[in-house]
Order: sequence, then structure tokens, then C-alpha cells
Amino acid sequence: MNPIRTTLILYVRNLKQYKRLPAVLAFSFVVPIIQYLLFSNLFNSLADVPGNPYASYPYYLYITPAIIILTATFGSVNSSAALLMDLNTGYFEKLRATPAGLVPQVVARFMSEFTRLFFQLVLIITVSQIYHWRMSDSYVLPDAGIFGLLLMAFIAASFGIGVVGNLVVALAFKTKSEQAVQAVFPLFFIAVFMSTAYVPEPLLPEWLQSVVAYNPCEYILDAIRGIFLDGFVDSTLSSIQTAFVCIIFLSAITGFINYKVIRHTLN
Amino acid sequence: MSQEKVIEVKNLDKVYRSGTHAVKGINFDVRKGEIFGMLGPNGAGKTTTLQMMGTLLKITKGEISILGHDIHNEEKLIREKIGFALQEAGLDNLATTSELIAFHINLFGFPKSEVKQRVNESLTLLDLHEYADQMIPELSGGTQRRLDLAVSLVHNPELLILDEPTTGLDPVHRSELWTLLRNLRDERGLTLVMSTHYMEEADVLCDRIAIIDSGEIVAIDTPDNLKKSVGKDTIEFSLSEDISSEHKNSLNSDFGKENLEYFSDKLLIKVEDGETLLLSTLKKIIELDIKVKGTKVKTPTLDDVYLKYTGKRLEDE
Repeated sequence: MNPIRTTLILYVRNLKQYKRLPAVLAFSFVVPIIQYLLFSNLFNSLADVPGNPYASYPYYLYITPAIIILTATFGSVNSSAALLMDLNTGYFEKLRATPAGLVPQVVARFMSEFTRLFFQLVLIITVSQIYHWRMSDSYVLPDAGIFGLLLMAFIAASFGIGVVGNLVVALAFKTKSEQAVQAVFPLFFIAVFMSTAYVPEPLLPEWLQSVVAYNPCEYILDAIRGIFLDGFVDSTLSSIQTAFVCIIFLSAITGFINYKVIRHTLN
Repeated sequence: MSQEKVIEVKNLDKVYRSGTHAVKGINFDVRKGEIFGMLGPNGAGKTTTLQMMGTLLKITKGEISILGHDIHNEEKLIREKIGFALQEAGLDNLATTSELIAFHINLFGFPKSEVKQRVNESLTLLDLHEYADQMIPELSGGTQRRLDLAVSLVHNPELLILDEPTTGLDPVHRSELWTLLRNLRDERGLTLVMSTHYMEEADVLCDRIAIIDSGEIVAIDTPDNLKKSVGKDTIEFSLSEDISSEHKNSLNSDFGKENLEYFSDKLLIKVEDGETLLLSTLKKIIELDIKVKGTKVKTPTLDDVYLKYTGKRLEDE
């Protein structure tokens, strides 16, 4: 059996599972949408605060990248649901004794979670565009166009699955507990809040401004916000580059941790 | 039964990271078409051994050859040729019975055109048609076990490894599963290797048994030979009166002093085959005019075998 074919069969099986996991799809979609609608209205007047470099944009446009990042982290934490089910029923082990083995199973799981998250992000972005269209008299697509919107989803999904997903999978193998895995979420939730996701940098308290520079979420936000608000200008291209370097670097670390945990757990 | 070896295990050792020495240099082989059992209490090393054979655990030391393939270099080939049913029926809780079987058929690379027919064959083989569209968590424990077997057999493996296949099943389902496993061996020529801590299961189902204790195989043979190795059968006579010394002398000369045990209301006679020799022995007792109320034949059990080789009763473990 060709391992690529085996991985694809497992990938398709994983995708089919989602129709029986509506809670995973709904929960990681509904919470960011509610936050988006709530924050857009609550903090609408933030644009009027003196010193806001994004004063020319309505607040709902400013927080769209934040909601994308939040969906990516939230969706990635939930990505362990199906894997945990396989681990706890013993089906993961059962498949290890078939041509599925270990590597195709793990790779297929990451591929399917990436696909799910990507489409969830596309949906969130679509909702944000519909909201924009409803709120503004003269809706125009962002300068980056459809490709830019899809690239935003791709960057966020890569960060979500590469960084958060790896940690979540490692925790799932280590603990086999849904609660333990869900405990990761507050860490990333705080990380998103300790960035310029909701408030532009000059308006943040001084201590938080110094933290922002070390927050990986900030680099992802920078790239997504650049694509969304400015289009593919030079500064955006540089932010995209930085975002991918950050994702690759962090994914390498979390991937290594994940590899060690899986190996340790299975032997 | 063929003499062709399906499994050869040599000096197999497993030490976990925790330092637990679970398997200590065991050796055995399994022949084609054989039902081979590993009998021992929980923690004896049965599951560890089976998991190493099923490529689920790395071997610390030693060799395993399965269907002519070396486990160190040909893991993938082995996985394609064996079926493995784990201790818990490991099934996909998000699928229906037929979806799961179809998925496994795809996984083993069968052409799409064959999938439907093969699903039907599997459903028929394990008598699962009425559950075809049912979600797996809705199935009973016994039915889940059958489904687990169905998915382990979709690719017609030459070897089926079963880790405590009847644990958690009621006596009816257990007996049904025994019949099914016997049929698989008889009709498909399948070789079965299974672990169990049920003595009756090992006795009734297995052609040969390895008794495993603390990671070591302490005895390996057919159930009958193992039991014979413990000692003779015992015929127990319940008596209505004490035996006189004159009777004792006659009995000693007929059966040998070493084969007799006297109690106030009981006489025990050790013989080679209790069932066969019961009538002739009883006849001799009656001829001696000893008043007998009842008889009972006791044959050594696998628990006696376990006691002999480990100094412990399996029932107590």
C-alpha cells in the first residue's frame, strides 16, 4: 500500500467525521462571531479616541483580523475532539496495526483539521464582509481581493494548526483528556488579548506595549491586518514573510514536542 | 495441522521506559492453522507480547518473524497480512457498522468496485446485517466484538491476533465467539494467537497454550499434555462406612499404595484416565464389598498446571 494513498483515505475519513461532530464546528464558529458582533458595537467609538492610528477605519474592520486569529486558536483547540475519541476508544491503536500505521494517521489528522479550520475561517471572513456590506453605504472588496482574503485564512489556519494544533495533539496523547486539552485555550486567549488584536498599540498601557513585541500572535495579526486593511503593499509583504517565519519556527518547536510526546506515549 | 511456522519468537524481551521488565526472553512458535493461547493473569506480559507481534510496541531485544517477515525491517508488510483485535473493541464511534467495514476495505487497497460486495460478505460472516446502519456506540458489547473481528478480517489475513477477545462478554456471547473463532480456523485455515486469563477458554479453544507468568513462559504444550504433566485423574468414592484394613490390603495390591488416599467417608484413587477407568474401578470396589454412595471423577485443571509451574493459583491472581 502506498502511504500517500493511505493518508488520503484517512484524510477523507476524518473529513466525513465532522458531519457527526456538529458541536465542534458550531462552537468554534459561534463564539468568535458573537464576539465580533458584540465588540463591533460596544467599542465602536474607539475610532474617535485621540492617537488611534486606525481612526479612519470603522472598528468592525479593525477587529476582523483579531476575530480571525481567535477563530484559528479556538478552532485548533477543538481539533482534538475526534482524535481524543479515537485515542480513548482504542481505535487509534487498532489503526496502528493496519497499513494506516502511525505517521499517516497523524498527518491525515493535521490535514483534515487544517481543511476544517481553513473553511471555518473563510466562513468567518465571509460573515465579516457581509457585516461590512450591511454597515457601509459603499461596500468595496478589500484591495487584496479574494486572494488576499483566502491568504488571511491560510495564514491563520497555518498558525492555528502548526502551533496550537501541535500542542493540543501532544496534550491529547499525553493526557487523553478533553478537559486537559481545553485548558490550553485560555493561554492563547490571553495571548490574543495581549496583542493589538482589539486595541491599537499606541492606546495600550505602556507595559503591554513592551509585551506586544514578544507576542507571536502579534506577527500573525500584523500580516493579516496588513492584507485586510492595506492590501499587498511593501510593508504587508514584509509582514507576511515575518508571519511565515514565525509560524515555521514555532511549528518546528511544537512539532518536535509533539513528536517526542507521541513516541514516549506509544513506547 | 500444518508444521509450517507462522510465528517464530526468539529471546523476546521488553523493558518499558518506566523500567518495568514486562517480557523476559521468551521463545515460542505458532504453526499454520493453530489456535495458540497465552494464558496468565493480568500483568503477566501477554498483551505486551501480542502488541510487539502486532507492531504496536518496539522490541527491546530479540526476534519475531511473522509469516516469514522480520518484524524489525518489515513492519509494514506484516501489518498488511495480519488482523489484530485489541483488548477493548477499538472502533470508530462516529461511524455506522457498514461505514466502518467499508473504510477498512478501502484502507487495505481493494478496488472501489469490490467494496460493496466485500461489506456484504463481512456482514454475513459475522452475522451483522441487522446492525449495518446502526451507529457503533449503539451496539451491544458482544456485537461490537463481532464488528471488531469483521474489520480485522476484511483483508483475509493469514494470522489473527486477539487480545483477551471475550473479556467483558457474558457466557452466551463468549461461547458464540468461541464457535466463530473455531469456524474461522476450520473454514479459512486462519491461524489464531490469543491471550486470555480464562482457563476454560484456553482449555476449550486452544490447540496449544503457553502459560505466562511475570513475563516468562513457564510451560507450553497442548491443554491435555499440560494437565497430564500435573498428575493423574482422581476417582473419588463417597463411602457409607469406614474401610477395613483387609479392604485396604486388597486395594493396595489392585491399585498400588501410592495411588490411594483414605478418609473416613471417602476413598481417592489416582488413575491415568478417570472417565475411561471409572466403571472398571467401580466394579473392583463393589467386588470387594465396599459400600459406595457416590462417585466423582476429578481431572487436573489448567489452574493445577498454573499452580505446579508458578506456585500460585490463577484463580487468585
